[in-house]
Amino acid sequence: MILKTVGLSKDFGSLRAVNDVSLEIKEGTIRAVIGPNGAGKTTLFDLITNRTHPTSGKVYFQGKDITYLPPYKIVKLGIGKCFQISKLFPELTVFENIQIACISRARKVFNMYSPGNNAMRDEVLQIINSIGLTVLTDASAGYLSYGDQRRLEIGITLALQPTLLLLDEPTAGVSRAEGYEVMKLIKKLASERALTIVFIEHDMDIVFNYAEEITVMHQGTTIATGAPEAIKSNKQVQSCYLGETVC
Amino acid sequence: MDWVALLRQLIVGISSGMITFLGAAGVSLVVSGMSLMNFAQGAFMLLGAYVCYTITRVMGFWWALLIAPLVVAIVGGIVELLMRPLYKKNMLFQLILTMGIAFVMADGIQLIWGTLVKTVTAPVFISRTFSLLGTPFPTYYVLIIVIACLFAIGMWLVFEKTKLGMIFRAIISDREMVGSLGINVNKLYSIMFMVGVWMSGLAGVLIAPIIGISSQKSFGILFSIMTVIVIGGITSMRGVLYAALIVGVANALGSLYLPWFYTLIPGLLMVIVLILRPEGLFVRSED
Amino acid sequence: MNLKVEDLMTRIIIRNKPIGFLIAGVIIVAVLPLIIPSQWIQLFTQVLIMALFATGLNMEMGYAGMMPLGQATFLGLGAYSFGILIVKAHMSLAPAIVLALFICLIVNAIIGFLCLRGKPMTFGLLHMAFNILFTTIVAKWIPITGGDVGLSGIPRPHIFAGTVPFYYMVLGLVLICYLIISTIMNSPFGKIAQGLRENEERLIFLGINTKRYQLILFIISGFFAGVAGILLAMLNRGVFSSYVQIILSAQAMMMCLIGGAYSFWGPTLGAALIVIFSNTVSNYVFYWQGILGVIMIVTVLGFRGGILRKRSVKTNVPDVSVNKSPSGGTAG
Ligand SMILES: Nc1ncnc2c1ncn2[C@@H]1O[C@H](COP(=O)(O)OP(=O)(O)OP(=O)(O)O)[C@@H](O)[C@H]1O
Ligand SMILES: [Mg+2]
Repeated sequence: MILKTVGLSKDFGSLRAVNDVSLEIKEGTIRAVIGPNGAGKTTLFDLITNRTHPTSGKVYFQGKDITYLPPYKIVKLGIGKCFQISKLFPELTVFENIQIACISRARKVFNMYSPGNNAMRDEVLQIINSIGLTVLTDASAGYLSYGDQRRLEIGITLALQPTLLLLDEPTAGVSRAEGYEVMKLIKKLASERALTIVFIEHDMDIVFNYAEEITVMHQGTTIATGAPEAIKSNKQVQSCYLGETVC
Repeated sequence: MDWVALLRQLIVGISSGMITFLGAAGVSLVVSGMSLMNFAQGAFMLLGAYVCYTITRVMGFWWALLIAPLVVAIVGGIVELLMRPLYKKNMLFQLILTMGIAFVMADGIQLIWGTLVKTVTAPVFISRTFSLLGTPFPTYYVLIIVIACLFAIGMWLVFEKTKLGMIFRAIISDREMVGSLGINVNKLYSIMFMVGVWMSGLAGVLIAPIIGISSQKSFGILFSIMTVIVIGGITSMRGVLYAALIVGVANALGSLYLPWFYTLIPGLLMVIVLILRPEGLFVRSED
Repeated sequence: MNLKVEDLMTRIIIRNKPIGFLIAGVIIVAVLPLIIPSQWIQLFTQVLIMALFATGLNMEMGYAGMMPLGQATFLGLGAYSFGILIVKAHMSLAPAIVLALFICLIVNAIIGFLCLRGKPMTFGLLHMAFNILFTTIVAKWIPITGGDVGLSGIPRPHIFAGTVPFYYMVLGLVLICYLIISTIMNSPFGKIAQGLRENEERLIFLGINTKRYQLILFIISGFFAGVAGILLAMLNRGVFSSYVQIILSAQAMMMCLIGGAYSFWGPTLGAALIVIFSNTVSNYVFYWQGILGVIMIVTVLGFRGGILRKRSVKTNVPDVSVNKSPSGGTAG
């Protein structure tokens, strides 16, 4: 198990956003987390990376208890996370966005003497190429289209060379064709680098095309986990999620 | 140990704590509602004291207590107009702006009222003392406590029971929601800022009879406000109240027992709180 | 995302810095003492020192987007520890300088640690609070600091004691400090600063301990303020309470904003303007503080990036969503 959560819960005031979630994710698999809006998926990711502190429960990464580690340490251990709303450095160029991630990965954050403008240039360009933004290398991230910002967000996270990748709706707000492009890219990189991926997704086509396992959340609880086929035929899932018209 | 002196210092401490609370509560309200740290609050408080000085000479202290805070609030309303273009910009700019306003106000006050230290004479009957246990106590300090308590209760009532209070609470907890309700947020910010500044005006009036008013005191006043909001937790009104009382009493007792050291007491308390509970003493450590 | 070109986040222009322009500038300031009247040299020395102060401040403010509202604390810290060591402890010059800088580093680290314990807004508030606290200490601790009168009798190094030699000494030291600052800000460390300005949370989720980063930047920036403080003490042959006043902090921030907080040379230009202007003004009127306040208000309200702002940001991004497929194809 690369990632394991035990009885993870989070209360926001009287609202229980995540309720007793226990997940086990095997190395090298692609897991989708699905569920209607407000089911607590983003909050679950936030708990795993300790962006919000859990009310109760534990998170283990590669057997190590990371529940109370500060987020930067969790990231350093090898968990990369893409946010639902892209978090970029909007006035910096695509190159610089990736470069900062590379500097962090190479532990050169406190290097104060070597020239920085072209630091790690080859690695940065290679990542930019792999996310398909080569023409936009020198464009400011804030001016990119929504889809390209999603790509950049993924690129930044990949530059960290994580072993576990958490993707919060990587294709949200992107045209369907482009969504497939992004997922194809992720899948390719995943197999190249033996990544484990957990992604949140609303588009059922994408989920059933790319996920190897699926976890369904509803009102904070996981109501089902299993292979795509099993989920498709699960009665409870159908009634409270798939049955509804999904946006 | 001299129990009477101790008791007297306690009254002095609580009353000065209450005054600081008034100033700090205004800052806290504006921070929680508008995410704006008003560094000019000390200057507004000083302005309140000066306006009180002038009105007291013409019409008497009681009128000053009523009018001076309103004058300060109106000046605050004008200042708020200056800030409007900055709400969407970087916070640094807002901070520098309020700092600049504090400078302008300090020198403006000096331009109007001169450099001489001013004293306000409170009405005769309250500048007397009353005796308790055979020793005299200053009436005015007790009056400050009474007025400040009345004010605190009044503010609580406004906050909990009126529509304006409801809107204030709403904007503090969820700003986007209030905007989407079709309430004019600009107007609301104006009112909020003016209320915050009005509090400091009131504090200025109350403090006027017990200190010598001088135009360069505003950053000293600001410092006591800052220590109190750091200790209490910036956005926690109740925490700020407790912190103000603690600092006021510690200061008053300090001046009795550690006269050479007491000016540093608030700073020291602040540092200790920062080390132990950076989010503030009276803030529940939730997210 | 409503990004405007003239918005605060304009990119730093240190790249492509015009080397020729720089050399010309150095030559001009180097020959300056030979052509101007000697009473001006004192003023220009002050400009240089304040320029160093502002450039150090700008490492935090312009590059990293932090809010160091009370930087005079650290200038005062350098000046006062140096002055006290000389005047009260009767140390000789060199050890006093070394020890003063050491004290600066330690106290910087402590204050930085405390300031960084809250949220960004608390940082600015505490930065200023410590400035006011330091002012109070200086005013009240008269036996040691001399109170409002200050400490006088600070010597300059023997060979640089005259006005012109001292000018050259300051010039040399300031240039060395500039070299260090520019190396730091052009290094990977400096790159991270820009990321911090744009999005701290992203940095955290890139695995960077931003608190530690900010603390180190804080200490470095405060260190240069300390150096400036020592130089200022030598220049005026004394240490005065005006070195720690909050108004000096405000002036330093104005130097950065007016000159251009996103360029390396902006603070220097701003320092020249503000120091010369304030000297001129305070010869005529009493209200420098109020005038500075007005300058602050006007600058902030009309801020367009300062004089040395970056003029062109790439806005002509090729329309991506349209010609996506070729580049996307290579990836897929
Ligand atoms: N910081 C917060 N404070 C209070 N409530 C919150 C907070 N964050 C999330 N919530 C609430 O928790 C619930 C779960 O939110 P979450 O964002 O995890 O849902 P989600 O499954 O990611 O939804 P979506 O598909 O819309 O992204 C929602 O009801 C939300 O309103
Ligand atoms: Mg979500």
